[in-house]
Amino acid sequence: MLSLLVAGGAISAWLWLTDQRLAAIWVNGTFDLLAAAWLAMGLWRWRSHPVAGRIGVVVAGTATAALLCNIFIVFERNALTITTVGVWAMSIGFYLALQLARRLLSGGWPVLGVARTLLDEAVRLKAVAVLLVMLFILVPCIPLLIDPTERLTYRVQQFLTYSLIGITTLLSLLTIVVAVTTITRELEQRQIFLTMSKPVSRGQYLLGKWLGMAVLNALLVAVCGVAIYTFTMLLAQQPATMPEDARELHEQVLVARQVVSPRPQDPAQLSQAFSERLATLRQQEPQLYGQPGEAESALRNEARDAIQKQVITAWFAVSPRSSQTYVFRGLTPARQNAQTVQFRLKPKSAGVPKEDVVYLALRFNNRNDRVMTRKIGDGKYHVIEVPTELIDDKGDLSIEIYNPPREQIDGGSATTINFNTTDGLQLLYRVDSFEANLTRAMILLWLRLCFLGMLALATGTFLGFPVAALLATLICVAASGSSFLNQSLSDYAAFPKATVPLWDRLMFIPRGFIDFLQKGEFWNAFKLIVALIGSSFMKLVPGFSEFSPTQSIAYGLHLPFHLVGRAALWLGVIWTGATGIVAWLIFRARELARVQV
Amino acid sequence: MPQNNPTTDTIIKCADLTKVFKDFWLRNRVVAVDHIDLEVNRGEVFGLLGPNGSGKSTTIKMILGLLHPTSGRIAVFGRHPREVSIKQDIGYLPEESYLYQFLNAQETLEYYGRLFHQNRAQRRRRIEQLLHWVGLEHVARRPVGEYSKGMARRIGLAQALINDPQLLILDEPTSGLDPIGTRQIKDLISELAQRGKTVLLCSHLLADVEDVCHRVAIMFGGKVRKEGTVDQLLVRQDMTTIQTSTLEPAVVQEIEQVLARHGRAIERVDSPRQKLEQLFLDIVHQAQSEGATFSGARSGGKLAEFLTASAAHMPEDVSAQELIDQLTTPAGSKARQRPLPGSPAHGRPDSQSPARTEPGSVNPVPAPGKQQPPAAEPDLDANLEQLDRLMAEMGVSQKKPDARTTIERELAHQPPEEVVRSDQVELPDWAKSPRSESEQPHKQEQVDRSLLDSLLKSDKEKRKDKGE
Repeated sequence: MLSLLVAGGAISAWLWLTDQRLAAIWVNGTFDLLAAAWLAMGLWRWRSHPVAGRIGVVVAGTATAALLCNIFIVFERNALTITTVGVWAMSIGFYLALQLARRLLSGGWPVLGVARTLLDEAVRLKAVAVLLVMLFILVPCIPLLIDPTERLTYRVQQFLTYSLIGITTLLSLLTIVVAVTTITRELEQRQIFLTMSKPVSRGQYLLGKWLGMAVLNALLVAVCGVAIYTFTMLLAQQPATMPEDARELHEQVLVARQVVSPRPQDPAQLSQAFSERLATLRQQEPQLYGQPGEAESALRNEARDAIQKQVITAWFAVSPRSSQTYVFRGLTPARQNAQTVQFRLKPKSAGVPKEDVVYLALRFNNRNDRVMTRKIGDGKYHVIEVPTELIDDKGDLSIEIYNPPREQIDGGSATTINFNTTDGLQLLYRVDSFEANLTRAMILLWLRLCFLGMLALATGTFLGFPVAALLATLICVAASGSSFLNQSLSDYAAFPKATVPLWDRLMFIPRGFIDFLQKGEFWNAFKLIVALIGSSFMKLVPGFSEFSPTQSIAYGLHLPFHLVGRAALWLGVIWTGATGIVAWLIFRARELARVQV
Repeated sequence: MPQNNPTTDTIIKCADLTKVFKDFWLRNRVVAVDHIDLEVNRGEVFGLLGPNGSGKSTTIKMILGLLHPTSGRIAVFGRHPREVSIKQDIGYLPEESYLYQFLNAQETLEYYGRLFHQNRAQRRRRIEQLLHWVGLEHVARRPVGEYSKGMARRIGLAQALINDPQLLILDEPTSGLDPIGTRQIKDLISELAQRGKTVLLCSHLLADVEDVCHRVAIMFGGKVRKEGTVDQLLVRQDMTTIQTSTLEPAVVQEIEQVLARHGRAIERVDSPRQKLEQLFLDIVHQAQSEGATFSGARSGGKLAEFLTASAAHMPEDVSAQELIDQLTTPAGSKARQRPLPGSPAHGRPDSQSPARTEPGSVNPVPAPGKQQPPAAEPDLDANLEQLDRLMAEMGVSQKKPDARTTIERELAHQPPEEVVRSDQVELPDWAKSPRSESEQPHKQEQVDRSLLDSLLKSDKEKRKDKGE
């Protein structure tokens, strides 16, 4: 083949040099075609040989993609061309990585043997093939679905959010399907008889299956991560709607920013506010909050929580004609490394402001020469760039927010301005690159899938396919929405906090239940039981919410290494290990064969 | 009949073994295995016989640790059956080949090889030899899910042998196999026994068990009803069979007179019938050799169909050149070229020279049988010598390979089984066990044997190397 190419090249070069250009192109093309045909024939002839088979798959995939691309180029559908190239690159990348992984797992060890067979099984399962196709089409197709007239920043954020949610869902599903199928099917179709009559312990078997899942997920997460990065960069190169838009994208999305939350200037300020509030409440409702003058420690926990919440909400509110000072500490790294820090705020007017805007005046570090006024959309995020030179030597930056009376500006009525207590007021500064942040996000995703793989294997050890898959999915969904679910449960029916003595907590349910029944409030009694079941279930479910990277990536927030470390410890070691031990204990004790008499 | 003496080293010991299956409410539902005691010794082919549902498979699964006994004890190589280390020396062929449908033959064997800590080179060599031996090398890259039952069975057998097991546990090994495969398995079992391996065979096909087993236990309803060596259970101690080429009625009468002098009578005179198995093997072999000469002419017919379907998995399909190549490979060169000690299934090698009986030429010659009451104690050796001499006088040579007549007589105290065995029609060369002195030793046979040899040997050597 090489000689064909060389000969063709030489003849065409000679023709080219002798000014017979058209003939040169023809000759070269013909020889190239001949060489390609020869290669194709060879691959077809030796297709049963594994190496030729693999090359054949790559060549066939590439040829198909090239054909599609040519069609799209002819019809000037550039977006589709890019999508096709993306699908091709992801598929081929995964295929090559898979071959590499199979090679790595080809050692003569039982665990590796089981892991490698799991890989083979996984990629040859029909359900998995469908999920893989969806996965490889999903990421390249999302850019096509995003409205190109939107702001560029918003488009990139949308892409990042959708693609991360998409791959998280698909990969979770894939993990559950593969892990549950592999173990339940082997038990049902009895391939396990053969494996277990070889020198493989049951623990090694489970470990091998899990390892296979972990490797498969690592490959897929890596391929998806590279694809997301590439498409994000492609999207970022699209024309922005306005110059600020492009700047915003690079400063607020394609970065990794550290978040600093505000603190009161005087640490005693909040506890003082707490005491004051408590005193007021005790005068109003002594039966709930105790008699005035009683010790604060005698307060019931629920009451304490409620008051704390009120105090903090009050601190995040600025009433008209007054100001509130917020101090951001620990900004020394920002002062050293960055030009500006971003002050991100989301004001929400208590009333309905005119034109949906609120006015604020800001004063930095109590310096009257550093004052600015801003007109900000009500209930919208707004970012103010603050030069780092304003940060003092201790690394502190204090920002005083003044709520000017409306009549002073446009004659409107005065309203209080509130800030969301979680992310209404934040100071952000760049600490790392988008690439590194995305890598950490992918590691978080992988750790989560590792746990999920073990969970699905564990359910498969004692349940049949449908029930095991459902249970694993249920736990996965509950774990993903753990913070939301816990919140809803505690809102749904009152439930004692962990600080209450154990006995009271245990007795709370029956006591409350009987109380409700005696009062004839059957619905409340029922709710109590639902809450009991729900919260017991949630106690057993690990929280994924904390380790979910989607929001952070879409908003350019830093995912610190200690978060990854914590995820590795909790998801990767503790939860996976505990689930694995449970799975092993069940699997070790059970009889693998069934009664047949 | 098996000749070798198993040593008394116990490989499997079941004591008071019971398995009761309980239902959801933990009530006893079925007693699958009911207080059985079994002992399988080293080098022995032990047959577990019984109808469907008699507890054979349950017993085997308990021996493998797949089921836990309700009560009683099991020791395999003196250890608990669920200990992982003992599995190193066990090969197991389940009642059906439970294979991963998505792997091909090569990958399947690779997988099981990995489980035995075999490195790449070891696996490659063994798998190549095993695939050749079971005749699946041509379809090694096809997914196992596409295999016919017999082909899957062959892969199952190959995986059971991947570690050169000391103990081979075969659950219904011949189910789903064509007669050629069945014969191959029986030969294999005998061969393994010759090499000192232990085989636990579980079957309800009586002929299989009878052909290869040293000892059998017959199970019914979860209990062992009868146990003992095949000789003890099957040999009729009160009969003698003499086999010779076809006799004229006059000769028979003359023999009868001789016997009458010793107070015996001929009970039955007839021509031996060929076993159907043998007939089948003959026909297949003939058709194959014709198929080779008239290539492409095979069409349609039932036999041809079978051949095309199984051509790929028949060792006979291997071309001569390939065989020679195989023989000259280092692995093949280790093979013993001398005729191996034969499998017990094929009779005494020195008693008869092979006489090929064409299937068409089997014409039963009915002869009048007379019955007389047994008389006084005879001089048996003299009796037989006289018979021999008589036949020689009448010009009937035992060596003449035309047809044969069997004479059954009541002759006591003669080890009769070899004579009984020899009434089988000779095997065609290619299907013959190596011990029989075939006139044209078939190449395929030698290849298989040499392969098996190197397969078993290479691992042994490896282990020896490890030990030293």
